[in-house]
Amino acid sequence: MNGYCGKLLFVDLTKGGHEVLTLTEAVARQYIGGYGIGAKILFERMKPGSNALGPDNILGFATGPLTGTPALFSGRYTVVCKSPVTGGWNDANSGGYFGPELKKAGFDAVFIQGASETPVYLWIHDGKVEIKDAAHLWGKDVLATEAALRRELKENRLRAAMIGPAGEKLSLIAAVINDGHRAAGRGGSGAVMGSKKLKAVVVRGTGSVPVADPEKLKEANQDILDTIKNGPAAPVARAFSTFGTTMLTAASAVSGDSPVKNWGGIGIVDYGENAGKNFDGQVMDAKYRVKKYACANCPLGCGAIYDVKDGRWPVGETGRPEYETSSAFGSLMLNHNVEALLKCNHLCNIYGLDTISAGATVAWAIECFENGILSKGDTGGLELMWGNAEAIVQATEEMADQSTEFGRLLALGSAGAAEKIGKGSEYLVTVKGIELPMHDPRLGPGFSRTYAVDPTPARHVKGGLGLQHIRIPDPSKYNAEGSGEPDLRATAAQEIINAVGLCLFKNFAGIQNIVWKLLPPVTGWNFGEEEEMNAGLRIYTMRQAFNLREGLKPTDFQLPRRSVGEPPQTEGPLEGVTVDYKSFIRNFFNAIEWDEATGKPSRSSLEKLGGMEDVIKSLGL
Amino acid sequence: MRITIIFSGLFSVLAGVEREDLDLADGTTIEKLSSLLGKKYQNLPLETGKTYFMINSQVCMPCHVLTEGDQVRVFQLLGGG
Repeated sequence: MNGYCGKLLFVDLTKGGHEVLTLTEAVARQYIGGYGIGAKILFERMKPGSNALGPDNILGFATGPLTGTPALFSGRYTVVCKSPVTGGWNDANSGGYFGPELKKAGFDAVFIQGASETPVYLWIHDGKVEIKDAAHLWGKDVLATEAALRRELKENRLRAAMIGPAGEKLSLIAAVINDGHRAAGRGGSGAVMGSKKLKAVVVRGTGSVPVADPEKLKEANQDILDTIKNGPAAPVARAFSTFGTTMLTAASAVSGDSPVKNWGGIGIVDYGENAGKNFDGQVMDAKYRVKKYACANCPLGCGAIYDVKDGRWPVGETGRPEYETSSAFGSLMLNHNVEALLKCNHLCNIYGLDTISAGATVAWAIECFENGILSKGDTGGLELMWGNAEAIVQATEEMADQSTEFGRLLALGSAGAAEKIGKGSEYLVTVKGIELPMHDPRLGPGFSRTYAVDPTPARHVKGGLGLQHIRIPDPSKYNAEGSGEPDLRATAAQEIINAVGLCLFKNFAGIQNIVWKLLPPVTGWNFGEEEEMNAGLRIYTMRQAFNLREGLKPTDFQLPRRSVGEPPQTEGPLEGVTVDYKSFIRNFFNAIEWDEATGKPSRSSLEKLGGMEDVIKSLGL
Repeated sequence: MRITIIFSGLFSVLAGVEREDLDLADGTTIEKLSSLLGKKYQNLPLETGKTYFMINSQVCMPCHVLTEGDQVRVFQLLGGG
């Protein structure tokens, strides 16, 4: 089967064994890859009601059909599991080089169930699978672990997806990290990995992925390169290639796109006229950049490596923070201190924390402190005030290493911390316990539906109208009338992009219809419009089915009031804005034919999609 | 009348400057300003309906008439992670 290895690896850490199953073309064509195949497998094989931090949870690392081929922008893979935060479906994707290496090692995906009694890592190399002792790696940070793995396996070209100490200690905001600074961050998958005593999945392969028409793929790649170089978006692509997502930070901070002061502030008022300027790539690169960083097969290379040699927190070589991180550790806590941002980003990377949830949790704690919910006694003496860089770094370090009671509290994430202390819930900005990402629905109203309804809640990389809306200044975007169908189409299209293994940042190169430039020459498949739409919605619906089987319903996914302008802000660019989120949500439910009260798809909608017989049976439709 | 343009984020990269003072005819609208900037800075993707013009923290529509001393922040927004 072109585009695939045709093999799924299943590892049981309780029994200490593994088996390899065939990925059939029928399943591949219906669920494409990534979290599509992940959702199909977890729905089939995981017992409903399994403890997310118990052995019955299944943790998957899944690639798409483009992964490991020469297709451009194809460096991503997805981690899937049941989330220990939401109690429902979780997926998080990451770039770097791990995904392509897994394919070259012979597998489209690896699914891990059971739990080891002692720390282990998985060593997958050219079709061989070994479970190896990791006791000597337990407690090491991500960089030290990767270096140790290269030494002991005598393989410099290995790639590893791993947890740091945060995941080992079951922090609910722990991420899976690969390549030192690429993160499958969200939803607590690092804690799931830690609960299995699995330190790392290490891969190395010399194989190749079969491609249906290599010449056509070459032509498609060349077409993409020509567009990047000479197309209408060429200047933007060049800027993005140089500065990455940091070129978004300043404009987002003043416009209302970035949330400010734990979502209660106004950028240009509370964060200042030069809001976010310190965190702009042009400013930071001039001082710290030592080299460019590109994920596998990426013609843009939006990353960079910094060297922080001196100053208050000289962390040495470290990845340049992305926009989401710069906002979470910037405007969200009124921090202007670049060195503090770089230190916090570095801490999250090496200890293995999701930077969005980590920043948002510190911002929540600051607001609690400022309002007397948390005292200096609670924070271990930290003056946790807005913009206090010293306190922000200290809190982040304690959250990462869990060396103090306060750090262990923050490691639960904001919702977990509020629950534990029994107060502070009025300052939470979460959906089902997941901290909202750094695009404000009050500026991009479509995000309200995506954050609340997507089966993986509170994500900016899921489909919908939000990404379109933030680009549009015209207030007509707030009118939800007729939003259902375009929202549905954008959602289905995004599901395919994520499932094939493409990076969302192809958007910055202005390339239209990229999936259908690359997928046919790789797989030999030519989907019609209906098959494309159905595949996207099938994946989306399978993730929803997982949640429904876990007993989750739409009322469990409530948007925080601040994020939708209840009450509206009284000045600034979002003055007077209250998002009609109920209409956006209702219109989407109608378009996808799900019941708004129960979240259940109609039987007819599932029959139309096809391949959903097990869902129909399981949900009693 | 004299106004000040402030290019934010991506636009400051593409324009190569952060601020610029411009002398404009009275009655100039945002739409006209956009056209002038498009001619002067050909790298700027001043797509209709996708460029923000913000004065005193308020987003202005194309028909908005500029006044003496306005500081106009010009930018585009894109989603990123």
